[in-house]
Amino acid sequence: MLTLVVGGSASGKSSFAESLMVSGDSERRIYLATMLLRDEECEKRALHHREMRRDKAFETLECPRALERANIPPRSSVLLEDLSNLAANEFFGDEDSAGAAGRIMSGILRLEQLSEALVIVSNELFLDGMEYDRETLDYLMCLSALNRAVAARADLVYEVICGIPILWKESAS
Amino acid sequence: MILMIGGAAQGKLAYTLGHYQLTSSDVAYDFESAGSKAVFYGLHQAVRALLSAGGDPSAAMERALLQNPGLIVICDEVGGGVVPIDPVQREWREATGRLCCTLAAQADQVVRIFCGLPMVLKGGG
Repeated sequence: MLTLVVGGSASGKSSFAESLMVSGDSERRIYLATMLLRDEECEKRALHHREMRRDKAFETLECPRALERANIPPRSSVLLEDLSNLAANEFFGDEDSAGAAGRIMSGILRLEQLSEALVIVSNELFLDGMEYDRETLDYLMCLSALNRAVAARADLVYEVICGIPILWKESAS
Repeated sequence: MILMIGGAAQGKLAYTLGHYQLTSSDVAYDFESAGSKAVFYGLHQAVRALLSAGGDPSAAMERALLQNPGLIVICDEVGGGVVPIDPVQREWREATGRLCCTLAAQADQVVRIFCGLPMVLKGGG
């Protein structure tokens, strides 16, 4: 079971994604946290999100890179938050940026195999009409390719606006 | 006329070509060739080019549709960011957004593409 949740910043996409996880009946709920904790602001954001998850019985696993090597216990449901962060860390990291989308996608395929349910949160970054430099544009292309590839595989795709989920896809199965 | 909208890089062209069984040779990229092709791709870019040449995008669009009333128009949504300081950028966003509203009002169907998925906003079926 694969679910994609996409929204702008502060759209309520995380809370919605977490609520999807809580309704499942897996033995363990794993939260794959993708933010690189570089400075105080990052730590604060991470703390805020951890606080939000406290009552929902998540185990947090830091995974800022190398999703394909994430160590997931059996019979768990997994929340990957979020794809835009992970893509940025892979794209702007030490390994080659051209292979970033491929590496992440193989990590996602592996997670799908290992988990009972997988919820992936991603960002809406494509509506601002801005002209970016080549590198930023390439990153946006990497992320949009991932969003489309996950959407194509997903059983459920939601866009979240002001905390309201809009269902874009529900597979028949 | 059919209007396809969505954010940048959402798979609008790929969806359109697949859905209507068209190929890249059916695609126009400027107002002139939009009069004779099945698909007019990148309206937002054509608007920018015409504005910088001192032209009137809505008049050009009207001419193309007179020649080709069944046209499928594909345009990026570009109004979801901070209003730009540069007046040229502001004019372009304004012209693109307003033209999309006009087209949507006239269109038989309006479809929004998101992560490669379609949602019919107007004129279902």
